[in-house]
Amino acid sequence: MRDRVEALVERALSAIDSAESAEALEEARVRILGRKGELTALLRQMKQVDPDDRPAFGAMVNAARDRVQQELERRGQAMEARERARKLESDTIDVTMPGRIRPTGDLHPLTQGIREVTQIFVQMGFTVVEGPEIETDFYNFEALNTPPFHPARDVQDTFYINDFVLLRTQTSPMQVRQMEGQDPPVRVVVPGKVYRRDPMDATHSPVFHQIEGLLVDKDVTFADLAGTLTQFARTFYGKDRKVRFRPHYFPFTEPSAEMDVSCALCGGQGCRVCKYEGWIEILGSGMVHPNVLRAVGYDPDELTGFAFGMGVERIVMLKYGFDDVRLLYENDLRFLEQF
Amino acid sequence: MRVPLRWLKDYVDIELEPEQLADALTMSGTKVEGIDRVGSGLRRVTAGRAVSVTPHPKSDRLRIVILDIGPRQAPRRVVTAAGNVAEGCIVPVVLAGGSLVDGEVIGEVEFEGVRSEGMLLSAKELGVSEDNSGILLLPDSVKPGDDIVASLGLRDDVLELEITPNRPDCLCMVGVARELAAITRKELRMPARGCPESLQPARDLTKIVIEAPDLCFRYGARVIRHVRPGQSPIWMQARLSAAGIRPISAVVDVTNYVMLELNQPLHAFDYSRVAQHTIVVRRAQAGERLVTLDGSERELNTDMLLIGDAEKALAVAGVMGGLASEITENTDTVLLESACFAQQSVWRTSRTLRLRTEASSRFEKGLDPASVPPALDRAASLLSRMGAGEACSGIVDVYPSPEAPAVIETTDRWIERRLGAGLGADEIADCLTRLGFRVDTQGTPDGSAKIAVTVPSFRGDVREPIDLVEEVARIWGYNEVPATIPQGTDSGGYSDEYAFCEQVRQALAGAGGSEALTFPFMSETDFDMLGFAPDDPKREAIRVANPLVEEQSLMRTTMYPAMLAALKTNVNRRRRGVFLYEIGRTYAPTGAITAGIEPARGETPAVERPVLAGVMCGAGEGGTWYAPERQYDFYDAKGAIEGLCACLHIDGVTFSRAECPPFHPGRAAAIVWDGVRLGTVGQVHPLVAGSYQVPEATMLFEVDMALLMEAAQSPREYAPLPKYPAVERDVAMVLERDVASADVERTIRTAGGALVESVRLFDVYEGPQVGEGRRSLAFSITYQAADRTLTDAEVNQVHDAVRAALAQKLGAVLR
Ligand SMILES: [Zn+2]
Repeated sequence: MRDRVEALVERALSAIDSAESAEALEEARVRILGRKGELTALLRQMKQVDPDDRPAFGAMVNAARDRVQQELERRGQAMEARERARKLESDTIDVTMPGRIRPTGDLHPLTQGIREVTQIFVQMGFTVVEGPEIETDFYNFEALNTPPFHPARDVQDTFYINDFVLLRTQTSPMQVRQMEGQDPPVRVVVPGKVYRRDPMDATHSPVFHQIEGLLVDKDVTFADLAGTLTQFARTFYGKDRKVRFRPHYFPFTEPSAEMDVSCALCGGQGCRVCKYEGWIEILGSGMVHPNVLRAVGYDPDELTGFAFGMGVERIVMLKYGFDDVRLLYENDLRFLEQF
Repeated sequence: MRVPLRWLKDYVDIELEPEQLADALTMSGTKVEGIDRVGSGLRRVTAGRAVSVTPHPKSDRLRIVILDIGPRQAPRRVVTAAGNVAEGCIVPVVLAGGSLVDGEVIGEVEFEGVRSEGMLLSAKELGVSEDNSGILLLPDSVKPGDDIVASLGLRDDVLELEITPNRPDCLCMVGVARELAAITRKELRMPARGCPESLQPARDLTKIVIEAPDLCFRYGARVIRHVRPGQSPIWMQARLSAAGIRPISAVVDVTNYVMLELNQPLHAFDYSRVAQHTIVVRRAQAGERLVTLDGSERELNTDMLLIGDAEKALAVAGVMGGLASEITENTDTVLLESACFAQQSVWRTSRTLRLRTEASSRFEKGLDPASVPPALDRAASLLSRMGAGEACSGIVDVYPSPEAPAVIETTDRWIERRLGAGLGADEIADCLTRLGFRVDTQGTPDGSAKIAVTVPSFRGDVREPIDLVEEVARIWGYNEVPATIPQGTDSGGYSDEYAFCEQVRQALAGAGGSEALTFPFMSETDFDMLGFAPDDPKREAIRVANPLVEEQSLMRTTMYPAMLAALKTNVNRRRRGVFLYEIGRTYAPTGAITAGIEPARGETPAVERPVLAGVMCGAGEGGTWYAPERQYDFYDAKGAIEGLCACLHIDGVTFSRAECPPFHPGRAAAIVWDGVRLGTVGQVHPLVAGSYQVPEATMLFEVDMALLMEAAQSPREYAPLPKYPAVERDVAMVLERDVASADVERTIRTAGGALVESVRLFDVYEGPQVGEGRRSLAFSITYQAADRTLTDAEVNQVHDAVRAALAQKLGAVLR
C-alpha cells in the first residue's frame, strides 16, 4: 500500500511540475484530488486494509494529500508571479528618453556673487542697502576726504554729468549717506554698480560692481577690522586659506589695508593666476578717516569704524576661473547658463 | 616706479635676497609688483682692446678687429661694420656662444670668408641706452678681460614698485632706501653733496624774483660753468635706463639722476638765454605763448605758473621747459633750477595743457621744500666729479615763508585704542623713530604716555594722530595686530527693496528666464529707433558730459534698447530661443540737474527707478519628443508677468490693450493693478525689430519695481477651505472677433454672482466654421457655495442666467 501511495505522490508532483498553465494545473488537481481523483480512489480501498493498519494508512494518505495540496499552491503562486512578471515586462518603457523638463533660467553670476558675499555679512549683523549711482561730487569725493586736486581723483577716470554731478566711481559715497541718515551704530553692506571711464577690454569695464561695507560704533578697532574681514574670507574662500593685510592708501580710511588670501590654485607657491605672488588681492579696507566722520557730524573721538570694498567681477572671475570681464556683460546665454 | 637694487645699495645695506626684500617692502606698504632682472640676457660679455683694425679684403663695409681680451686669453678676431673703432679703443665684446641683453645668441659667423669669433657691442645691445649708432667705447680705466657686466652695473634686479599717491617721498631711491632702512633696522646713507666751487658767487650771476609766492614756495638756483657736451658715464646711463629714463646728455642725465635719487625735479636753462640773468616766477598773462621742449606752441592762461626772465616766458613751471632756453651742445653756462611749486597749480596746468611729464607727475603730488638745496648741491657734485661742469659758489635760494615742522601730540593709549593692540609707548616711539620722526615721550600720572611727534618735512602726508597709527602699525606689522570680532547685537538683513528684487529674480528664473546684466547707458538715436514721439517724456534723459562713445552718452530712461541688444547678441550666435530679463535702473533728471546747479546735501541728484525688463524671442517650449516646437508669442510674455504676479500673490492684475512705442499697435497690453499702470508687455513694432535687427516676433516687457512691490504688499487674508462640492459647467459661444475675452469673463462673473468660483478659457477657435470676423470661445465655469451643496436645479438656474447674459450683452451665439 505504502508503495502505491508513494508512487501516486510521485506521479502527482511530476504532473504539477510539468503543468505550464493554470488550466493544466487545475486538470492535475482534479485528476489527483478531485472526487473521482486518484487519491480519493486510493482512500476508497481503505476497507481492504487490515483494520490495525487503517489509522496508519489514513495518516499516510492525508499526508500525501497535504503534500500534493502544498505543491499545487506553490506551483500556482509561481505561475501567477511569472504571469505578472510577463505582463510588467511588456509594459517596459525607455527610461533613457529625456524627461519632461520645465525649463528654468539662471541668475547672473554677478548677482550670485553679490548674494554669496552679502549673506555672510548679513550673518555678521550687517544690513544690505543700495544707493544712488548718479552721485554728487560731494558724496563721491569731497565728503570722502578727497578734495578737488587730490591725487586720487582724476578727471580721466570719472564720468561727469555736470560740475556737481557724476557717475559714482565707488560705492563708498553710501558710507556718508548712511551715516548722515542714521545714528550710530552703523553696520551696512552696499552692493551696486560703479563707473570708471575705462574703455572696455579684457580687464576693464566702464561699468562694474562693488560691495561696500561700513561699521561704525564706539571703540571699533583695527583689530576688529582684521577679525571681521578674516572671518569673511575664511567663510567665503574656505577655512584652509591664509589671510594677510598689507598697508595701502585710500583717502577716506586711515590706516588703510588691502587684504590678500593665499592662492587656492597653487597653495601659495605661485602660479599664473596669482601672478607668481602666492597671494590674491581680495579687498581694500581701513579705519574710517576722522575727516569723513567729521563731515557727517560724528565725533571721531567718540566713534570709530572701519570700511571695506571689493570688486564683484574680480571675485566671480577668480571663483570660476575666467579672465575676460567682457563675458559678464555680453549676455550670451551659453555663458549665463553655466552658473 | 623702477628701483635698481645696485643703485638702492648706495644708500642702505641690503642683506636680504631680492624676493625677501620685495616681500618686506610689500608688507610695510610699498607694494612690489614685480622684479625685473635686467641684463640677465648678457652672457660671455667682456672688454677688449683693439690691437689692430684692418679693412676687410673683400668688403669696403667691413673691418677686421683683433682684440686683446685679457692676459690669459688668446686674442680674438672680430669682424665689425661699425666705423667708430680705432686701434687702442676699449670696446665691449660678446664672444661666440654668448648673448646680448635681449637674449639673442651670437655664434661664430663667417663674413665674406673671414670668421668672426664674436661681436662688438653698441650701448643698446648692452642695455646701457637706446644708442645703436656705433660701438660703445669704454673708458680707459676698463682693462681687457674686465667683467664689465658687473663693473658697469649692466646686470641688476629692478624692483617695480607701486607708490600710492600719499607717498611722493617714496618716488625716489633715497625714499625707498629710507623705508628699507626703517624695516630692516639699517642706517640710511644720504648721497655725497660736496664739490669744489669756483670763487665767483652764484648770487652775483643771477637774480630770482618770486611774484607768486602762493604757487611757488621756494626757488633755488645754481650756476654751473663750462659744462661739457656729450654723454654721461656709462654707469649713470645704465642706472637711468634700468630705472626707465632714457639717457640724453651729461647735464640732462644728471638732472634726471638727482630727480630719481631725491625726488626733486631739476631744470637746466642755458644761462646765456636768460635775459638779464633774472628768473621771474609769475602767473602767465592771458594768451601768453611758449614753445615747449617738445616743439609745440602752448597758449597759457592766467591760472598757470611760469618761469620767465626779465623779458619773456622760459618754462611752464613744474611741467616743461621752453625750447628757446634749452641747453645745447654750445651751452657753456647752465642755470640749474630746483624749486617747490604748489601741487594743485601743477596738477591743473598739466591737465589743461594735456602735458604730463616726470616732473609734473611729481610736483602734483606735493614735494618737500627742504629738498631744494640738497638737490642742487648733489647735481653740482655729480657734474664736478664727472668733469662735466664747474659750480659757482653757493645757491641763490628764495624761500619766502619757511614752514616750521609739524608736531603731532597724542598718547600711547589713544594709538592703542585705535589699533586694538597694546604695544606700549616704547614700541610706538621705536617704529616712528626708525621712519625719521622725532619722538618725545612723557609719562603721565595715570600711567599712559604723552607722545609728541615731530614730522620730517618729506612726510607731508602725516597730519594728525590717526596718521601715526598707520605708521606705527605698518612698521610693527599689520599682521601682528590681533583679530577680534566687534561688539554689537544688531541682527542683519536685507532691505525690503533688495529682498523684493531677489524674490522677483527667483520667480523669473523659475519661469525660465535667465538674468542679463547690461550697461545703464543709451543714446539719442535709440529714442528714434524705438519710435518715441518727439515730445515723449522718456526723451528727457541725463546726458554724460564725457562719454566714451556716443552709444553710451545718455543714462537710460528705458531698458528696451539694452534688452534688444542682448537679444541680438544671442540671435547672431544662432540661439534658438531667448528669454532674458534684468532688474536694472532707469534714470531721470531732477530739477537740480536740469538747472545745472548743485543738488542740496542729502538729496539724490537723479530719480533712479528700479525696473524689471524682459525679452523673449524664438523657440519657446517644445521641439522635444513630447511637444512640438512653439515660438514665443505675446501670451508667453504675458504669462511670465501673470506667473510672476501669482508667485508674488498679487491678485487682480488686469491687462488692457495699449498702443505705445516700441510695440506693435495691436499686440501690447498695459499691466494694471488697482488702477495703476505697473508696466507694459507686448510684441515689438516691426519697424523697431528692423532697426534693432532682431526678429519681428520679439516680445518685450517693462515693469516698475517700486509699483510692483507696493502691489505685492497688499495684505493677504485667509479664506476658509470650501466644505461643499463644486460643480463644473462649460459654455461655448461664437462672438464677434473684437469682443475681448476679459469682457466675456467679466460678464460671466457678473451674471453668475457669488456662486461663480472660477472661470477658465479652455478653447479658442477662429476659422471657416464660425465665419469671417468671428471666433468661438469656450469657458469652463466652476460653481460653488460656501454654505451648502448646490442642487442641480440651482446650478441650472444660474448657468442659464449666465448664458442669457452672454447672448444679451455680448451678442454671443451659444452652442
Ligand atoms: Zn597661485
